[in-house]
Amino acid sequence: MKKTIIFLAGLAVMLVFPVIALRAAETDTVLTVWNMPSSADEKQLQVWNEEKAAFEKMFPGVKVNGISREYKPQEFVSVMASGKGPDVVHVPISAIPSMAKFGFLAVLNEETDTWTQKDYMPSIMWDAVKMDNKIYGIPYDSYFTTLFYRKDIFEKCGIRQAPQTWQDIIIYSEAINKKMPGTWGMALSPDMSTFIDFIWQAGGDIYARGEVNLNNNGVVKALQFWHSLKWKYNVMPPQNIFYESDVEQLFAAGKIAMMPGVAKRLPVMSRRYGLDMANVEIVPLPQGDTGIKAWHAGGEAFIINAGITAEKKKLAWEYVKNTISPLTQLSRFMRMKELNMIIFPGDFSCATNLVNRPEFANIKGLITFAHAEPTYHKWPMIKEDFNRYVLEKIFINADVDYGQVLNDFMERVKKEYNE
Amino acid sequence: MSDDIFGRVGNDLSENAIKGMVDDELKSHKKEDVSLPIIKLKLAPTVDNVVDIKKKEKKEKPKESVFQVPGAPGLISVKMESTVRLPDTLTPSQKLKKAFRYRRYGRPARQTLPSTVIVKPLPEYKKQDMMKLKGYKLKKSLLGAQMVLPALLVFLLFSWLPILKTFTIAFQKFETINKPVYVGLANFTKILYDPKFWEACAHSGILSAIVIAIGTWIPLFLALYVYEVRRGSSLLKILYFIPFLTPAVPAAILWKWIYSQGFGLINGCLSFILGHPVAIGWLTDSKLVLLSIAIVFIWKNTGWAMLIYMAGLQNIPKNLFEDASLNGASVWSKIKNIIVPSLIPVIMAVVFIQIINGMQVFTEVYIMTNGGPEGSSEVIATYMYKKAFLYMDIGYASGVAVFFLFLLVSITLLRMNLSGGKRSNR
Amino acid sequence: MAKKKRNIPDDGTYIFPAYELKDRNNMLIYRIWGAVVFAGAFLTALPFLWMLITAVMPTELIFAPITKIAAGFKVDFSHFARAWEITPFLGYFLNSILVAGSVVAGQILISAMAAYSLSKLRPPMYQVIMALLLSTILIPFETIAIPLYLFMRDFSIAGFFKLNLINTYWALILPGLANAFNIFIFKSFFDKLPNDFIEAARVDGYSEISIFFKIIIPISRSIITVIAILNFVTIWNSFFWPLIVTNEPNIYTLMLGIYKIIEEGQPWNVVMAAVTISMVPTIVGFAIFQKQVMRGILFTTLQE
Repeated sequence: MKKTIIFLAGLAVMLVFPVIALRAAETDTVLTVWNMPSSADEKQLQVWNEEKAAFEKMFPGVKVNGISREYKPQEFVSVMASGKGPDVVHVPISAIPSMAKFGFLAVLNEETDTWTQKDYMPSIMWDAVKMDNKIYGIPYDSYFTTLFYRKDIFEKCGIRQAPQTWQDIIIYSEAINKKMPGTWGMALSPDMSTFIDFIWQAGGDIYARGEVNLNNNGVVKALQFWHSLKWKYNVMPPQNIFYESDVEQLFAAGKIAMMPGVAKRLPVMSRRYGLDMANVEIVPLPQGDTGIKAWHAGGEAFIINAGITAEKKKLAWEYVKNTISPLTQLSRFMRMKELNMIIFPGDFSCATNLVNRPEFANIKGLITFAHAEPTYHKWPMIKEDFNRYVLEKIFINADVDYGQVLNDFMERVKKEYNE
Repeated sequence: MSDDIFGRVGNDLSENAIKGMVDDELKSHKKEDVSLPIIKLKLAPTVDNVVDIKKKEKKEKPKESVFQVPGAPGLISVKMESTVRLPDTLTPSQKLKKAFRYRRYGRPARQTLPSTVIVKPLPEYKKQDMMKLKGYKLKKSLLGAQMVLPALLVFLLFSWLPILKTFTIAFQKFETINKPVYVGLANFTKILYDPKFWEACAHSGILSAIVIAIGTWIPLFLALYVYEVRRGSSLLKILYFIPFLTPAVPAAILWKWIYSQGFGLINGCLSFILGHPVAIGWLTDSKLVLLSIAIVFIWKNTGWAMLIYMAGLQNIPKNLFEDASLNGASVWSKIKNIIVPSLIPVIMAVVFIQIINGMQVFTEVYIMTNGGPEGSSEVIATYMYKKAFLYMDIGYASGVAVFFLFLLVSITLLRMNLSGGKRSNR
Repeated sequence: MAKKKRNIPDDGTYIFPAYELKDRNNMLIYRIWGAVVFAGAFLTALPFLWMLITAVMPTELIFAPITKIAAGFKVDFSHFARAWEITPFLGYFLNSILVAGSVVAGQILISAMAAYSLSKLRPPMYQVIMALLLSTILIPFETIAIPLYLFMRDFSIAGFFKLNLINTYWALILPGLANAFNIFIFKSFFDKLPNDFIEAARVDGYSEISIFFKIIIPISRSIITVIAILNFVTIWNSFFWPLIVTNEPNIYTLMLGIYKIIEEGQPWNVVMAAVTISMVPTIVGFAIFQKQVMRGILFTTLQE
């Protein structure tokens, strides 16, 4: 009997506890922001927390609730649609068109009109966050696809020069594989964000006359090249499909010598996977035989939730402005130096021009050749489908009829997205 | 046969509860001479027949005397019984236990009397309290309504309204944040002509089929041995059972690593054994991926199915095997002719539960492949989730949900039909 | 059960009784069969072993072939510290306990009352209620997840209590309360309780409410334990629903939490260390409640 009473009491406590846990609304205004570094990056987190404290000091009565999250489209939608989404989010700019279309994002024209810092950011970034002359996001960092290679592996294999053309990738990989069995040239994940560079370099395009068109020579050529890397020249490790984190881990572990990548991921690779930055060289992505210089520009932008009150929106804007302000950026730079951290452009606003730093000497000025992804609101979904039904296909099947695959894909796109 | 098994296993718990009570009772009244129907005898094979019959009797008795007490007339008869026979010196709880014990293990005298006879000697009592009793009955049913109310409210809010809403949304164009618009059957026609949806259905079906094809027989094979094992049976049971309790998220992450094509455990071991590099794309080959996911399922469910088979084995009368042995039957023919036929209800239960679990799989697929490669492991649940939250077409997703509901309901109904006898009995 | 078998080796054996094992053929089959079964048990446990091995493996060996791993293996427990550092396990763990505990407590109270009422008190419209409840067993959760999500977003009961419950414990707890299966387990248990048992209590002057709380609940303690454990495990393991309705780390359940941490991209040894830590509560729980868990799973499966 005694046991029963204890048991029942326990049940009752468990039932009551959530009520206690859900305290009444707090008196402070809470600004939820999704740009906190992951808890795996301690030093970065420390810097971020210091900035947060500074901001809270500037605006008494405001609490910043930082959350660290990887951007995953489907999970992001369920969050924003819930009406309890975060106030300020750091998202890849490629996500902005569709999010804006569905009304998740606040229009920021009013705020940015009188904002002088606007002019310091590359115009290509502003194009990416604009739809019908409405500004939906504030660009933060910008990057474009480059090639990372491991200097130590290249040295061991007697390679002196960075790869310049597509052909070089194949030749180098063969050399590396011969000299160091168990090490491969390159790994590619079936991801449109990387593949798009190759399309442009092959002279193709993806968006013409207001329509997505992926069935052209350039795409076929790029597909052929990727397919041959996998199946003909054995450039990649014996794995059909790599996810982004696989490629990064393999690169950090010295299992692959090259990878296409964006500067944004360098901090992750160096801080989490233990990549030694002294071994890494950053060079432009090799060109195709057409000689076209084209790189895919990406970046991240701050967006503000459309569903919040005007007051909060003001506050959110203050937060974004404060984060991007030269003063904050400079103090962050100093602080990171103090803490002996490696400086990556991805940690800073694109207005700061960190690309002038020595480690990026090789790729300086290349942003003029960068292309942006189309600002078509169904593009993220088409991209997802393309990864799944075209790129994965060529990595899985040794025999592929490219024309057929692309035809099927375009039909699917027409049926699904052109209503 | 089936009733037997279900009856027995079903009673298992309450029997234990009762046994515990009877034990207490025995301890408190040591003087009373009560024999308990627990048999702890080692018997030679030839005597076993007798034991079996005895067992059966004991099994039947409680069923008749306790578990099928008729509702309303029982109310009166029982009242008299317990007031008349129990000594007043006992505390209320002891009284209850005693009453219960009498019910449970019966008094031969009571057994012979039909229930109507018991009611007869109480006419005046009945007349006197007729009105009171009526009021009481009403009160009781009102109280019943009160007690069932919270459950009804919860089910209304979290089961019935949502399912109705699923149906209404299925007829609407509803894109997450926009206002829903009625579009009639548009979503359903779209679904009917959507190859991806049918692919997803097929994948779910194939996944379940593989799970049943392998996951039904392996546990049976194991259960037969583990049931007879002379040493280490509990170790075996626990080893096989732990995966069942492992939450799906860690299990999926773990298997994703084990299946890794270039660097996973399986391919690593195969390369080591075969002496040359092996790179089987467990999760990246569109032909293998469903099998790989099914293997995770089987790994998880083997211990569970084994446990159930072992419970089923307990109910097979042992004398059948003695006869078979005397006639020189081989191991295989014993399995084929005795065990499998008598286990059929249990096997059906395992099969259907696995089908339903297999059709509903989400976590494993979402974490291990997210529907890839080239959509060859997209199952209904992940497809629905993506339609709703990646493509933001909630109307369409609800249409899929309606299909899904009909599919699962028909599976369940099929199951009820196949084991109909069992249902109607209860 | 196991104990009895050890004392009396022949009790319960079917296809290999001791006297038949004297036969050489049978003995051979028995041995081979046993070898396969024990090998299977080893294979079943192998993933866990590999998980532990990976968790203590130095980072540079992760992508090495097996022979190299065996040669250069060093035990390195720092990954556990790292996993613990980057994941707020304690918070996730408490969230999981809170959610699962509340769901289980609510479920048991609600379903035991409903089942008692249906079994012994016969409320009006008994048949209708039974049919209504029975049919919800057939509804798979996935099909109502989307409307439930919308409902949690615009929560209201008949126009009152308008709230947005997304990202609160309520969103995780409330939908779990509707579990008709428990009602039927309870009902089949209560159906077996003799009526005179309750009558006797009435005669002793217990009120209806106290009959339920002072007699029925204590009597059904064993079944409550079983249902509680099984539902606790189900809620503890759930992933789909928390994934949809929560988006802040301070409310993540353990399962969602480790998923999120791993999604961020971690080296495999840290991932496996995190996975190992996340499984500790399950293993400990199983060690304590092993008997109840096994009995309960049997009971519920065969009741269906």
